[in-house]
Amino acid sequence: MNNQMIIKAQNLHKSFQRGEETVNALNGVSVDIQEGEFLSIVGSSGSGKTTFLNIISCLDKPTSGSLWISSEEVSTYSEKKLISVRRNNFGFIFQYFFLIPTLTVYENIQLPLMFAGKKKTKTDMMGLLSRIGLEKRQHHLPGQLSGGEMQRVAIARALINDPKIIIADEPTGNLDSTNSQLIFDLFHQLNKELGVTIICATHNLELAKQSDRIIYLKDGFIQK
Amino acid sequence: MTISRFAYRSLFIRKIRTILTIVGVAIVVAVFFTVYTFSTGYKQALQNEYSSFGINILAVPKGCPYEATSLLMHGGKMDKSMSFEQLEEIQKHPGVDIASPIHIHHAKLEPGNYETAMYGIEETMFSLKSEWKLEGAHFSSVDAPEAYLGSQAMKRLHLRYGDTITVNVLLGEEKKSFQVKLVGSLQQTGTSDDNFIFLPILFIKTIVPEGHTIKGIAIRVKAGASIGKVAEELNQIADVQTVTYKQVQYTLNDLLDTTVQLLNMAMIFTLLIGIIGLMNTIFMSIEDRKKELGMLKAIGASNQNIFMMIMTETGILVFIGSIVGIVSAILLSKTMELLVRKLIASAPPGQLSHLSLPVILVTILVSVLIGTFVSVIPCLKATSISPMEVIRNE
Repeated sequence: MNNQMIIKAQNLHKSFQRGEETVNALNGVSVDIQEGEFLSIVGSSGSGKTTFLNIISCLDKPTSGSLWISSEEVSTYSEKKLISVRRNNFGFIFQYFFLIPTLTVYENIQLPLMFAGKKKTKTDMMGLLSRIGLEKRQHHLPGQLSGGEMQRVAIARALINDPKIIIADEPTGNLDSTNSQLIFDLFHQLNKELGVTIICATHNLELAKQSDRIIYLKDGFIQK
Repeated sequence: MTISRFAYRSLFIRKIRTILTIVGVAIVVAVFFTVYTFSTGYKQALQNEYSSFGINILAVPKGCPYEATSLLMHGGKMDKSMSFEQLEEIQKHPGVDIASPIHIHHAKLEPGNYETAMYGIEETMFSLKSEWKLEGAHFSSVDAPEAYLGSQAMKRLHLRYGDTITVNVLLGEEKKSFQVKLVGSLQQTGTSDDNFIFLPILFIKTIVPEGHTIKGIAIRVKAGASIGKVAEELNQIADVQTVTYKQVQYTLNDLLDTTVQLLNMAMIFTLLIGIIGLMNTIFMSIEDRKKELGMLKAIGASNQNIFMMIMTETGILVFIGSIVGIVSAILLSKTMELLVRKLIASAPPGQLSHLSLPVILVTILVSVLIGTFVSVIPCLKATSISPMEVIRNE
C-alpha cells in the first residue's frame, strides 16, 4: 500500500423514494481509501453497503456530498463521462458471477476488452488465466464450472482492463467456506502482487478480518 | 469477439424463445411471400393464357359473356347454345377473317376412365390458336369420327395414333357412347387445352341434336378492321353476344385486383400482429435480462454497445425467420397451388406462384428493415437499464 489517496468520499448522502416513504440509505458517509488498500465493508442487509459501493464505483450519484477518484472530482460528471471513469478505474465482481452462459471462459474474460475497444495478446490472456488457476479450463462454458471456478473467471474478467480498483459485492455470498477462503486468498495475492485496491462488501466477518481495514455500516452511518 | 458475434451467441441463451420468435417471424414472412408470389403469379398466368388465345372476339350465347368465355377456355358446362345459321351470319360479316365454331361437352373416355371436356372444332382453329402444334395427322374429313388429344391427356391415356377411343356423354337424361379414332395430339400449350379431347364439330353435330351444337365462336377480324366496331356489329345478330379479348382481360384483371386488395388487407393485419408480437418478445427478453444488461454496463458497455447488441440480435432473428419463412413458402407452394386449383376451377394453367430471386431478396431486406425499425423502442429501453441492477442485493 502506498499513501496516495485513490478514493475520497466526503459527506455522502443518498436518499430515494419507496412509495410515499423517503429512505435515507447513506447519511453523511466520509471515507478515504488509499491506493493498494484491501478494504472490507461489513454490515447487515439494508445497512447501505450496496448504495455505498454503487456511489464510490460511479454506478450511481450521491444526493449530496463529493467524490474524488484518483484526485478527480467525479460527483458532477455526466453518465457518459462516468462510463469512461468506470472503464479506466474499476473492475467489478458480483455475488451471482453473471457470466454469459454461451461464451467460453476465455470469451467471458475478454468481454470488457470488447466494450473498451482494446486487445490483449494471447500470452497476456494465458498469464491471467494462469493467475486464477484456470488455464486448462479456458474453452469450458460456465455451466461446466464449479461456483468457485466461476467466481475466479469473474475476477479475471474484472482484472482484464488492468483496473486500479476492484469492487466486489458479496463475492463469497454464493460459495462454501473453502471456496470463499480461496477467493479471499486470490484477492490478497492480487492486492500484494499487482497493487490493486480491493473494496469488498461482505457479511462474513471472519473473511473481512483478513483485509487491511474494515468499515462497519449501519443504517447508512459508519460505525466507529 | 465483436458485438455482432456476442449478439449471435446471446441468442442461444434462451433457445426456446429464440426458436419461437423465429417461427413467428417465419409465419408472417411466409404469409406475405405466398400472397405476393401467388397474386403476381396468378396474374401472369392469366395474362399468358389470354395472350396465347389468338382470338380477337369471342361470340357466345346471350347471357354473361365473361362466364361463357371462362367456361369455353376451361372446359365448363354451358347450357345455352348458338346455331350454324348464326355462325354463317358471323362468317359473312365483311370485317371477319375467320370465325371458328366451338362445341363443348363433358365426356368420359375409355380406356382410362378419363373425365374431360370434349371440344368440337374446325381445322380453322389452328389458324387462331398459334400455340396449337399438331403431331400425327389432321382430321381426314370435316365430319370424320376422329380425335386429337391434348398433351396431358395423351400422357395419361397412353394411346397410340390409330387407337380407338370410346367417348361417353350424357345428352339430357340419355347416356350415349360412340367411338372415335385417335389421329393426332397437340404439343404442350401450357393451357387447359392440354387436358382435353378435340373432335370435328360436324361429327359432333351428328351425335348432339341439331341447334345445340355451337357454344362459342372464336373470331379473328381482318387486318385493318376495327375489333370494337366488328364486335359491336356482331352484337346486332339475334341471341349473340360478343366479347373482345381486351374486355375479358380487363374484367378478369379488375376482379383479380379486387381479390388482391382484400388479401393485402389481410397481409397488413398479419404484419401488425407480427410487429406487436416481435416487439413484445424483445421487451420481455430485455425485462428478463435486466441484470445481465446491467452487468454489461457495469463492466464497460456503453448505451451504444447495448443498443447495437439488441438491434443485432433482432436483425439476426428476423433474417433467419425470413429465410425459414421463404423456404417454407417455396416448399409449400405446390400444395398451395393444388389448393387454389381446387378452390378456383377456372384458375389459369401454368405455374401460379411467381418465384424470383429479386422478390426473395426484397422480402428478406424489407423484413430485416421492419424488424430493425420495430426493435428501436425496446433497444432504447435496454439502454436505460442502470448498471446498479446487478448490484441490487439489498
